[in-house]
Amino acid sequence: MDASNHGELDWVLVLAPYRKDAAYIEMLLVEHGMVVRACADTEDLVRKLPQSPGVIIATHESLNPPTIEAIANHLTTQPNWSDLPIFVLLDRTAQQSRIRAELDRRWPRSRQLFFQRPVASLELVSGVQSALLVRLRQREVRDSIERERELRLELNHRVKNILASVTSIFRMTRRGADTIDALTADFEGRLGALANVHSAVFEAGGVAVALRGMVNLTLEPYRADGRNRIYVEGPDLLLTREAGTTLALCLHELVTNAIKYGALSTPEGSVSVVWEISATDTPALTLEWAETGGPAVAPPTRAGYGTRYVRSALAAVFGEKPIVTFDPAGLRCVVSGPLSKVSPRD
Amino acid sequence: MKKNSITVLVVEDEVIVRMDIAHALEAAGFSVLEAGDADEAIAILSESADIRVLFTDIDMPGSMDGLKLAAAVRDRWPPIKIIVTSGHRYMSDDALPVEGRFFGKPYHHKHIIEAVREMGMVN
Repeated sequence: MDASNHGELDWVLVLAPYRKDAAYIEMLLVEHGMVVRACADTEDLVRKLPQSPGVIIATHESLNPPTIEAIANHLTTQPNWSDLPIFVLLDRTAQQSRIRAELDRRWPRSRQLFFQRPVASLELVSGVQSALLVRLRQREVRDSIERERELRLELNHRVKNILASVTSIFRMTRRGADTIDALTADFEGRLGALANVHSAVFEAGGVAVALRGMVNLTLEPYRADGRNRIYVEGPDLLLTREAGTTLALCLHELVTNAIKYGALSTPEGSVSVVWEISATDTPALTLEWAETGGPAVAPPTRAGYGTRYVRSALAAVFGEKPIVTFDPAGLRCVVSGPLSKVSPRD
Repeated sequence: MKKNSITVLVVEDEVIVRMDIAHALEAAGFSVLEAGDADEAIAILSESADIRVLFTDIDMPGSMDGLKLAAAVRDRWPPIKIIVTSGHRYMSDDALPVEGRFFGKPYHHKHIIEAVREMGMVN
């Protein structure tokens, strides 16, 4: 028997009340690494069946009406993936066809295997081993069906949430847009940022994304003019899917704002995105967006969607509100919070 | 629209979705407070006496999900009316563990606004 499977295999119930059959069968199976429990009588059987044997071995003479009834009752409680294997050891003189027909009728949802006595030990051992392995595979299939069901539920949940987010992005974009063209361009930009970070998270395995990769991916479309005016620096670290997605949307808002009104609206301006991790007992992540060389900055008269979103979203991700400074030399946005809030648990 | 006195607490971890519904409720004349999870919501509830309606997502990270939050609100602030939303499951109003309304995600703003208005009038 495959030793690595041994711990996962079910146990074998033996019903052989007369002579020394039970002891002999038990010894034979235990010798081959199987777990065996013998039942002395029907009462004992009724006590042991709820512990879910993976295989039942019953001798011809053990099959009195109460025993047949007890096993029939147990079979009705089987989960629907299970066909319980039952080995029946028949005497040479038994009316085999009558017994087979009777048990087939009384024990639906079982797989009956009939052996004629005297039973050759090799056949019995390999038969029981094979039945236990089949059972193990059945349980694995059951588990993977259950996992697939959970994944489908999770997928449904994610899709619903993404649709809710996209609906909200659309409505918020519409509120801030003056023309249909502006609405289309802004909406496409925001969905593009969401799609990019989604791909990055998916490619990274679905639960985490590298901060540097996410920053570069989000800013890449705005570096197309060949001159590097966006400076990115910070140590490598992983973000949770949620933190990575929200930060990507924030960076998208900041960079598009910089292109429209800030440092990237003039050829001389530049942006730096810098982060660091403090070397303290509870490390903090600090992230800074700083613009220089653009037109003189004045505080906006009203907070638009982008600014409101960046403030709320950074506060949600970091657990601390960001400090946004409308310095005449350039917009600055700094946020800091516990690293543990944004990194995936190992 | 005349500014009425109904204050709504919106609890939703997805920032963009929260901003959007908060904006719509404000535009409909309600006062809106926002929380990103149940713990934040409890802190706000402990400090603000005038909240009439709780609108909460079920699926949120943190120590409590939206259903537990709803149960806590029912126990500690029984006059507050409750509206629950989720993208994860569909529930009828009767299946909620608290007296309230359920809306699946994505929901229509006008349905939430109508529900808040009805609940605010009952008081």
